[in-house]
Amino acid sequence: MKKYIVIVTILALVIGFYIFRNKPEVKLTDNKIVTEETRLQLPEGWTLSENGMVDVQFEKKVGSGIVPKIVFKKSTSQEAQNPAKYVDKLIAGAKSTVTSYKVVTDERTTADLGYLAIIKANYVNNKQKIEVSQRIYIIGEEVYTISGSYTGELGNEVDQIIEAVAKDKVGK
Amino acid sequence: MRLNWNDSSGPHQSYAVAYGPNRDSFIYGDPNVGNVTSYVVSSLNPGGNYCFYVQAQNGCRGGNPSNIVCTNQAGGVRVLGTSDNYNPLVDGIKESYGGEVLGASTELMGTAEVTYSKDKLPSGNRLDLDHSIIIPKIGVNFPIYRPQQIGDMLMVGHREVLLTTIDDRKVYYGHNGSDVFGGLFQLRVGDQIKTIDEGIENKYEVTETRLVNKTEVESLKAESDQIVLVTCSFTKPEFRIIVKASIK
Repeated sequence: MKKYIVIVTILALVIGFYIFRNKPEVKLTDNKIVTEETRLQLPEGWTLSENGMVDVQFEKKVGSGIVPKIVFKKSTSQEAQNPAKYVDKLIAGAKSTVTSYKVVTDERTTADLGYLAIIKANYVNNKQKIEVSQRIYIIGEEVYTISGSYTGELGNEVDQIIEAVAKDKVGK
Repeated sequence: MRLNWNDSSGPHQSYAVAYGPNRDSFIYGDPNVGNVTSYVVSSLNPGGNYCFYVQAQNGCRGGNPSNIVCTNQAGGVRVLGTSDNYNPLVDGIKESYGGEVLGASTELMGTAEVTYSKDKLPSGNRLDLDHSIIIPKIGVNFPIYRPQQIGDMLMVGHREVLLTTIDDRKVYYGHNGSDVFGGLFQLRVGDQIKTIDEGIENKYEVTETRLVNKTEVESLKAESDQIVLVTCSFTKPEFRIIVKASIK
């Protein structure tokens, strides 16, 4: 009899464990901004300001004046299949559209995965000289553009973020 | 698309990720992405709509699904249009400009043509096929482009005549290339200008021509029945040619 009571008790405990054990719970992280900033290791003061319909945008908090910003965008163009000619055309179009736009450096490289143009330029807006650092990655007809605008000595920080965004979004 | 989530407090060995084109259809997924809190879903169509949820797994037993998150409605990478006039460089310059927008530029439009090209160069400005301008004396007959702005600065565009509104007056401007507004300096009082606006033809007569410094933004002020045309001076880069015309 005692043997049966022990067996029934063990069975009850086993069944009870399976009935009443906790269901695993999971919740997707709401605070994506913090996660992205940490993951991309942004320099101090930079935040992810947009991550949606205007694609991905970073900016640095400053007391006054021009807010340094970095924007990532993706587009497509059949002309991009001839990347060198396409980038030449984009630069000529930019010079014609933003009339004070001056290219300082224009470096091009071709890798197995695609074509890269690193362009540094400046232009004048409301009597202020704005520095622009841009990268264009071209893979087939896909064009990934990362643009950073700033004033003063923020070139290294901007390029660091552009590098991180390129690795994250383009895989370079 | 990278998904991040908080680790489940309950017993679990792995997570499953499910996704699909909307909140009611999770037709794709991976039943075991490992015991991780981040996962990259690849092979998605750029610009497509996707909804995702994550579920902790304890053996064969799944926990309650997480909240559902969707791209495009709230995030994700949008693929931009393939218009011939789209210029990702110009778009990047515009979107990354972080200056204050005051509502008015401190200078008149800078329109000096700096690049010669037989082909139309992309600017990103929008072609408005319902609007055109015709100036018989200098052989102008162009459709109109609508300019973008960097802060308060209006952008120009290769082989484009642009139309904007300043103080409720229509202002047309373009480069001083011979195939755009390069002949504007030849206009004299009494010359004819015609615009077509959504099928309606408007006839104007030139009433005033001026050469002004680019800082004289007030020179764009006009009477209620006038339009204003602007281009750069060939010989004096700091100066602009202004033509005003009244409706006939």
